[in-house]
Amino acid sequence: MLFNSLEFIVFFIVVTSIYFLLPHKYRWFHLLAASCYFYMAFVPIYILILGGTIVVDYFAGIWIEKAEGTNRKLFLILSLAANIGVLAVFKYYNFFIGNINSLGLHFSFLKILLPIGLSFHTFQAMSYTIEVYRRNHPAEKHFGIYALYVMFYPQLVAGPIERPQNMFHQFYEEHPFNADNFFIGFKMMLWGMFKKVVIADRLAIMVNNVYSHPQNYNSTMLALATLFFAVQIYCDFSGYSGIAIGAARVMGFKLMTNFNKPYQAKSIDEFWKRWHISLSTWFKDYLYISLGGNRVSIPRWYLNLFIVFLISGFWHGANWTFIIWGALHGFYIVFANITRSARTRFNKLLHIERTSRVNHFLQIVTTFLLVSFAWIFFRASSVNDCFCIIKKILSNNWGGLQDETIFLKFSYVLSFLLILFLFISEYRFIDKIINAKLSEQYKRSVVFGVLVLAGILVLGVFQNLSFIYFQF
Amino acid sequence: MKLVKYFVTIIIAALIIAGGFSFIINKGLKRSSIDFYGKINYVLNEKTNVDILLVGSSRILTNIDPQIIDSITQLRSYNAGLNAATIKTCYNIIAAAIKTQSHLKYIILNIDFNMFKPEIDPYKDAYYYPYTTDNNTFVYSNNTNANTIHKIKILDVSTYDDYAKYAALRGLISPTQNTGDGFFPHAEQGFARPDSILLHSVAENYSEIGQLLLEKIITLCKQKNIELMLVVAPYQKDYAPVLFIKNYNEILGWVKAMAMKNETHFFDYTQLPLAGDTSYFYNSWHLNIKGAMAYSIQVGNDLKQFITGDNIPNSKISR
Repeated sequence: MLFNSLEFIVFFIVVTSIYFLLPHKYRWFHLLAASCYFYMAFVPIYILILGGTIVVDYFAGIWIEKAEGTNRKLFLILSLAANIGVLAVFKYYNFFIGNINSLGLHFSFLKILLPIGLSFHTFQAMSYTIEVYRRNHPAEKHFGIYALYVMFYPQLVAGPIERPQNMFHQFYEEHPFNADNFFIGFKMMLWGMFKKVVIADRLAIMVNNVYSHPQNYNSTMLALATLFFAVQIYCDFSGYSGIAIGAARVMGFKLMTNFNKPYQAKSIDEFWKRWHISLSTWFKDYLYISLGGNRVSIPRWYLNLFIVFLISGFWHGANWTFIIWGALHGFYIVFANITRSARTRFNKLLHIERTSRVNHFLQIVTTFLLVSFAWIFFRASSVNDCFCIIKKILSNNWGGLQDETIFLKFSYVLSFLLILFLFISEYRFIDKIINAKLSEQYKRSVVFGVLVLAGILVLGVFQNLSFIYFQF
Repeated sequence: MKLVKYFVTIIIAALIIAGGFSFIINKGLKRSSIDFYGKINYVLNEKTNVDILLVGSSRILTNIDPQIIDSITQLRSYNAGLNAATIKTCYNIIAAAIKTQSHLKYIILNIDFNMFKPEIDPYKDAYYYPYTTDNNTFVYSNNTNANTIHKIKILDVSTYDDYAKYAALRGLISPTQNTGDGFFPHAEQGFARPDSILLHSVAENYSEIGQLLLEKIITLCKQKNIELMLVVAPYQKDYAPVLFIKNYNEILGWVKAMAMKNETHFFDYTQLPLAGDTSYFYNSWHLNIKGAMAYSIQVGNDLKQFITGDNIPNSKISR
């Protein structure tokens, strides 16, 4: 069930209405049943895999809490192995077999579909057992509440990847109907839907065409498609997150922020503090720090940074393109750290004021271009395609838009106007309006609601295109 | 209470705005003269008085000049060819024309070996707005009809894509632009490379629905006493699909058999002498303007012979 479908709108209205009508003690069960239904709307049988990992992690949490010494570590390893094992089988097995077979061996591939959102809910489950192991959170005794922590439908298939500290207490707290929460949550959902169906899905048409046959396009088209993809993936994923956070907020739950205007970042380091925050903080908390973080020798620190980004790339998909994408970001970060003092000296020498507006603007543009360049690896179907695209962009084969029909140019103009509207609104006013309570900015909220809803109806691309991050 | 007021306000206001846009866009589409909209507006216009309708894909659109047909036959023809049209779009154009064109006497339908897959037709059901309110005339994709597409009539706009919005805008801005005779020839230039797909020996898919639609066209024309001519435009000889598409002869075979069974005329122009001369071609599938002129003269003369009842060479016709 996609968020951008009529089925979800009906589902959401029914589930939310029943939620507020039920006494508090039954609400967890209602949300769990709704979440099961939501998940089973994709591939019903995969609920068994999810159920299996929930059972393992539930008992692992209790055993970790009770155990001491090496047993404690053993139970954690068992839990992590179960989760990573599921990921390895469903997500990475065929990738490894493909690579092994390329050496001349002949292992057979598994004919299975990747369970939707597998990487998200396994990471959420792992964060629970790790936090219990670190004694930052007690083991959850209520099986239903634990299952709901993993399966809570708004964030089940594509995050935000929550932490136990933020979620469990919310399931126990009573959430009476709150008009402000409803108001804010609805506006978040509306804006998320706008970003998805009006901007992301429109840009997807051009991006998909160009990236499916990159050899047929000139530098202009490939560069444009790459820039469009940078905006598409932002609108697609942040749109999804907005709908997820908004849907939870309507019922009184507060999920963590997942995006904070990432294309306004002035460095790659800052970009990762603004992009997919729940994943980047997961890697920081559970991998980077476990590797020693920056409390190690400088070369080891650089290695730690690089490893984290490499694994982050691999988390996104079992393909060399994602691994290169992660490695490229790792390289950016390490390179920035290596050259930091040299760049500071250089700026001093030329009397460049780093805090000036012009400098900030240049930093934002540079960061955006570096991130967009890396997106080529994220979006292209194969490593060969990546290098074909880069080679063609760098070949200086600039020309006009390669379209036989002028209507596509109309579509591009519309896309540019929408992108402009997106960046201006996010830079200037959207947060204020969305987070305003009923008693604040009411008139602006009305104008926002009317324009965004009408915008969705008039300019939306209703082809039920799936969210990009659902594949992970 | 304020929350309820908020929702009521934004929903009503948004519906009014979207409804307004729907109304304007539908108006624009009805006045549009480009591509599908231009073609269907032309054939749905009772005043255009077409005698001969040319229907098919780009292999009609770019290959036959109606002015040449008119000068030979002394009748009024219109090229309703549409790029990549499958049998489904052809059916809908023919059905619309039969419904409104009282003078219509002849329909020339170009047969492509790859046209019998209505499910890949680029002219999606949503494109037919605002014309598809008539379930008895048009055919739709599986499990849809005019009513299911128009779920919320006031919000048609929510089902249009950018193409429709562009066409509507053009219709609103330049409604008087004439579609002319519908002919869009390719420039005269050297023969382009062969289409890569033809270099692979592949089997072409076709569906029962595709076959059924051809039969429906034949039946419809018979019922209305309109002479239907099935034609196969030339391919450049060295790259002809017959050489590369495994089941080309099978597909053309059943089309021919269906034509014979229903006493419909079938003209196979793939063996014309011009098929061996690349200077007549834009690429292996399409003629250039020089080729279109030669081919139009050929079709016009055959049609003339047919109209006047003269004998037509057996190699070109089977009944």
